[in-house]
Amino acid sequence: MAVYLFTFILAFCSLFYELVYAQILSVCLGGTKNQYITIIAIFTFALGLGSIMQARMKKRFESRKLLFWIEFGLTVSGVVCPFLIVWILRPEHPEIFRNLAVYLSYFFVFLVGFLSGFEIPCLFDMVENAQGKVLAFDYLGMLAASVLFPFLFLPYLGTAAGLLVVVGFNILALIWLSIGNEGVKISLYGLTFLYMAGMIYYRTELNLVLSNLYLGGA
Amino acid sequence: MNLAFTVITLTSSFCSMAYSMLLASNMTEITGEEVISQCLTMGPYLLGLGLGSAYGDKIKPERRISSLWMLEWTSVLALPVMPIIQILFVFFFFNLSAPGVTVEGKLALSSMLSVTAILSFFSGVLGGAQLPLILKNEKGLTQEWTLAINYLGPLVAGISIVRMNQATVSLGIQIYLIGLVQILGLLLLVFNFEKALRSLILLFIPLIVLTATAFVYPDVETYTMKSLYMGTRISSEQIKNPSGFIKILKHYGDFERVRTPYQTIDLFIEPPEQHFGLPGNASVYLNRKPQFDLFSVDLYHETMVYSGLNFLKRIPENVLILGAGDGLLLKEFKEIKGINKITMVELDQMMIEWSNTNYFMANLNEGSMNPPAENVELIVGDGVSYLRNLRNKKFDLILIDFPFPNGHDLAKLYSMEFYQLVKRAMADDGVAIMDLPLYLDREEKLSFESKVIVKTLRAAKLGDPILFGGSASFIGFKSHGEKPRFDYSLVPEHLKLESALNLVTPFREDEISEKDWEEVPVNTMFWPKGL
Repeated sequence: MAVYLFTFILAFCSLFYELVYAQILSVCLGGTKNQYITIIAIFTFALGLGSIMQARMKKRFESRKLLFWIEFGLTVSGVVCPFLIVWILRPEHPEIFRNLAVYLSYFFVFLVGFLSGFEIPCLFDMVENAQGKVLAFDYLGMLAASVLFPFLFLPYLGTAAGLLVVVGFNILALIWLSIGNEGVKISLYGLTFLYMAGMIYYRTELNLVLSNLYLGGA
Repeated sequence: MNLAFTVITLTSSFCSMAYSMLLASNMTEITGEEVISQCLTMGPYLLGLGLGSAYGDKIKPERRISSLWMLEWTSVLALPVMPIIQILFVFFFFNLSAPGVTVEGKLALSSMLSVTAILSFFSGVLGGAQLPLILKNEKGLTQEWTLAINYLGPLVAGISIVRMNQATVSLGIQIYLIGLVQILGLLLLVFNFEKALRSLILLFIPLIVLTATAFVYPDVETYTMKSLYMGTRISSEQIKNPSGFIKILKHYGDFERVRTPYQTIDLFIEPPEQHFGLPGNASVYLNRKPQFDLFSVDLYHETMVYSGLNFLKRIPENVLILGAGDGLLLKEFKEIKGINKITMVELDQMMIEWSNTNYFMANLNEGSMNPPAENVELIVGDGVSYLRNLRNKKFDLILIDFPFPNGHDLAKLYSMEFYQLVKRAMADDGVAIMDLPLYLDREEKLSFESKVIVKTLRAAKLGDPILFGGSASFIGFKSHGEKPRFDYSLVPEHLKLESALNLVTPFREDEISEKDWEEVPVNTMFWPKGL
């Protein structure tokens, strides 16, 4: 059952990160409708490339280990990249840097999709004869992200706090993948929930960090 | 054989995603809710893709080709019709509902979004079910290549839709172009698996459906929009005999729709009143939301310009106008001498062009932008970016004429960050005037949205604002300190009576005191709330 729960969580996190990118890029570059369309397109494409790449790498790496590193990458990029995007797209940077920054932003979008593409094939390898269920939970996770982002996370937590709470879910997956000892695992889960509660408590301040990065000290 | 599979893989993934994106774009345009429309279209699409793929996986090997054939036919016949179903739903929903039901209402919004989500889900199922059938076909490419090409489809779809939106290609044409790509896939399937000429002839059916859809769509869209603007309702009599109703929609008034890369501009001109010889009203809508009509246009623009001058108590040296691509604010400045420079920043080049060339608009703005006066600098660009890029330039008077904050994109222009940028651009004793949308609620109190705007202004640490205008309401503020004050002796005599009265009608102090405002949020770009 844990596999299905984490399949749901991983799919949820992946699409959530992309929606956060769409939100941030629509603030920094404008054109919400086109940003969302572009990002979903890049995400779907990168997702496919990631799953192809996993097929090539699975002979060399054990699936659980590979999935751990993938989730580690997604967690780090989830924390760093959205803030980085707001900073690199600031107008005081030289024009050539800003043009490159736009491409770099879309590369981050691609990266999340690409890494997420590894998830399902890895999870397939971890279960036997239940691939249909894994797929079902994966798509349900994505549906949940697309509904909860505009109706729950964005209005009640804002972009930054919502993102950092969801990073907590990714940390839960990392713990599940890497820690064997049940006691340690439960303690770490507890700490992660505490972290998520902290993010919710400081939601106003966290969103102001993005605002200040955007304004550059105005 | 490989080529056929490659093309079918690409076209099926491209088309299902592209139609889904069209549905999302259409819903965004109708509701003005960008984020919700996009999320609630893409989520069900991805779910449909997954469930379709699971369904396709279970199809028995001997039925794969026939199922692929059937799915292609279903897609090519059903997908192009979806945008029409979507717009027809909007039409019938409003015409069959009780008077007073609006697009902004929760029931209307949730119904429209639900229908769009179902259609998008169906599009995902059709796209997803085809992939396993192609993957498992021994005549096809390797699985890796098939997957790669399949995932290329959505990327191409995203780029194509964005490009077509930017090039303002009409929705009817977009439907047609995507449909042609889909028919190409079906054509290859016909050549490879159904060699009979009969099948080739059958291809005319989707071509006819597609052409009819693309041809009919603009009319359906026009009638739906006219119907929404007129607030029509169909009676039971008219359902039995709809020709009279359609005749009214077809012939009543003139309707013009201009799609730009940023917005949809609608101009609806009512016919003159025959009996008393009164002129018909004309209304301009941006993204389906009313902007002004013939009877309010002077009231709005005169109040905005002359309140700013009144607060400033002098002729400003540098004026900044944000928005106002209709040229109506610039028209007011024609009469005012002594201004060193007026900088106007408008995002939408097509809005300027339309306002210069459309007969109705060009008459209203008296050619104020065609060409602009010598002291006017017209900048086509994003107002927020302009303010972000300003270094040390300061303005004595800033007029902010943006559309109402309907939707996510526009709410950014009423955010704390934006107001901080405005503060940075204001001269020390400078004044800014902005439109205050949605002034009063049903109990004649300051509406929640207006409170959000006032509270957001205060969070940006601007000066105390003054709210004024009983008929068309505005906010005026300085960069710091006390609220601006009117000097009624300076109200020019040439103003129209309604403008002068509007100008000198400040809100009661108790209406804008922040007592009991704890629940009112501050709207920021990264935490959009309350608008």
